[in-house]
Amino acid sequence: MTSPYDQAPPSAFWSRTAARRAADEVADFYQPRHRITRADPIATAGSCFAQHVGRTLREHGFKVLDAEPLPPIVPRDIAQTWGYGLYSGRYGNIYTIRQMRQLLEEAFVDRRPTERVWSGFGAAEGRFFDAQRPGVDPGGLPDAATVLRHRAFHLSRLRELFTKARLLVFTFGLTEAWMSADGATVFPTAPGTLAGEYDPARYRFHNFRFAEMVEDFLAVRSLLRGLAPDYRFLITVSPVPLTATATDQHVEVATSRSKSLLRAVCAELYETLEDVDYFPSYEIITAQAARGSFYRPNLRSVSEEGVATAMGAFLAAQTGEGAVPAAQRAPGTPPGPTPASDEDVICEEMLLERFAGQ
Amino acid sequence: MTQPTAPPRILVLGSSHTVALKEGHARLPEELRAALDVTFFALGGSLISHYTVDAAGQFRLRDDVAPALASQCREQARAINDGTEEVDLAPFDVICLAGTFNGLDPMIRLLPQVGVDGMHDPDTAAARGTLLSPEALEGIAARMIDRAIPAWDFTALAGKRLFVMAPPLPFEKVLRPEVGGRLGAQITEEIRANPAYVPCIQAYLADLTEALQARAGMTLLPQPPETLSAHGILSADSYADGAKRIGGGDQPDRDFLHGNARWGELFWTRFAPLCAAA
Repeated sequence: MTSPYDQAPPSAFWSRTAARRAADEVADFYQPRHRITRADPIATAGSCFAQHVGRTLREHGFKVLDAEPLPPIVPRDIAQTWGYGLYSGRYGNIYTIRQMRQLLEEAFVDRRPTERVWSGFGAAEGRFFDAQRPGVDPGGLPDAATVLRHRAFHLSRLRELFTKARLLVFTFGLTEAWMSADGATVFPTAPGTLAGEYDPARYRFHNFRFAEMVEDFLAVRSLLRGLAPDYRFLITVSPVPLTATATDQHVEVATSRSKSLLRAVCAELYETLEDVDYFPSYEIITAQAARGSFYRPNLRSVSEEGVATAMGAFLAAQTGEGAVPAAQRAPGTPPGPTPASDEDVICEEMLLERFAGQ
Repeated sequence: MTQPTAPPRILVLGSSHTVALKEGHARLPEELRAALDVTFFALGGSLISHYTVDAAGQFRLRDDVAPALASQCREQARAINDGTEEVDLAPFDVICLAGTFNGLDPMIRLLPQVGVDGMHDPDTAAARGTLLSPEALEGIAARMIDRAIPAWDFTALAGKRLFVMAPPLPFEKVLRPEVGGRLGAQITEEIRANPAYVPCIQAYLADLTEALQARAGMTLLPQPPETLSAHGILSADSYADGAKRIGGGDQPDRDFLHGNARWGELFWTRFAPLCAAA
């Protein structure tokens, strides 16, 4: 008697892998569809977790473009406070696929957001912020005209960036977003979080659906492959749960809905488009075998070990460098790249925590 | 404690910039040297950062330094400081840090590589790829000043006077292509095209001086004006010619950071009266 499972490798069977592997034994999680060489010009974008991906690639000699660089004389953490060095452009976190689409359409086809400048509040009263990246100038700018001038400069840099790049590394973060009431503009943060003022008549909540996200990604892909037909894409899903949900569901249920749909979008894109590769950082961090150990005590932030394991697996698969199982490592030695945790990334979404109370 | 008639006991503690002070001290007239009881303790800049001041007032290697690195520190300390590995700070009246922080020239290097709103025209910003708001520049400068203040805790040293010798601003030879390369060309262009460049650096140095005093109780000994070049933000090469390395031998001609014995001698003529008053 034969079965289609007869010739399946051990990794196909839960009992032979997941049930007995160590948390960091993830070498066979990722088989790259495309090799990334150190000559490939790369642009990175996405939610907070994407900062780890970009940093790992940079530290290992990959050609991650930086369209708005600060000289290295400015220490990295200081530069990051003003949005430099987080991604290939100074766009801050891009949590939704729609936000990425909107950014590219603004840069390349002059499709402007309907609301571009937000006012500050509290200590930033009288200051003005770019509504599409309110975190990059922590103290704001003196007037709306200055905000728009800096945005025009930013967009000119992005045109150069995305024209030069041939690989977009994009981490999908959220499905929940705040939009203008007419639905024409999506914002990276809720109005009234970092800047702006929440007014139900002007803004509405939206939870993106599967088809919308696929369509948004296809628009991103179409625009970039219009610049260069050989553009490739490496997509991932952030394993970081929602800080808060604007739905009426429990935040854990809302997280599951959000991440499930993002993962499903990845599957759809990977299975239908040859130029799209998927890296399973989400699965590595959230796996049952990890027993939650890749999260910090708040069960939300990814630990140093988790980041190092995921990025080590990525490097090992792409280059043959990186991940070393715990049993073969000296005590205290990370499995792959420089240890870093979610404490080391800039994440505006975490500001929602201040609305949680005690 | 020092007897009233005894010369003040001075410890010069620092990085490779200490060499110029030691050489300058040796060139002082005998009567001036006799009026100052000076001890030097130096280590390469990257190694001295692994030292700490403990509660007993010992300047010593931190306990958490990896064994291989600790051996390297100890070996260099002994080689440079006549067999000494650490210093008891208690007997000294005056402590002067020499070049142990890297706070002076970031702004000299940063401004020629970015565009700043209101300071550079849009084409310059576009060519450099970065447009900073003045507020961001100010914020970055403030954070870099924070980093420039030495991390050593001298609270166990009540009653001592603390000074920081400003290491020389980069020497003018940085502008020569064979020395400064791209950095030199950038500084040259910035001096030519940006009238706000020199005032901005001078304001940064003033802020740094104030922060050192306010946050670390240290007095910054400013660079003597006569050692500055015509631009006002670089040092005259005559104070670098023949500079020595911390481990012995001459600094290479391409070095544009270290002063020579003449620099050190000038330092002492300015510093000695302050020490005598301590």
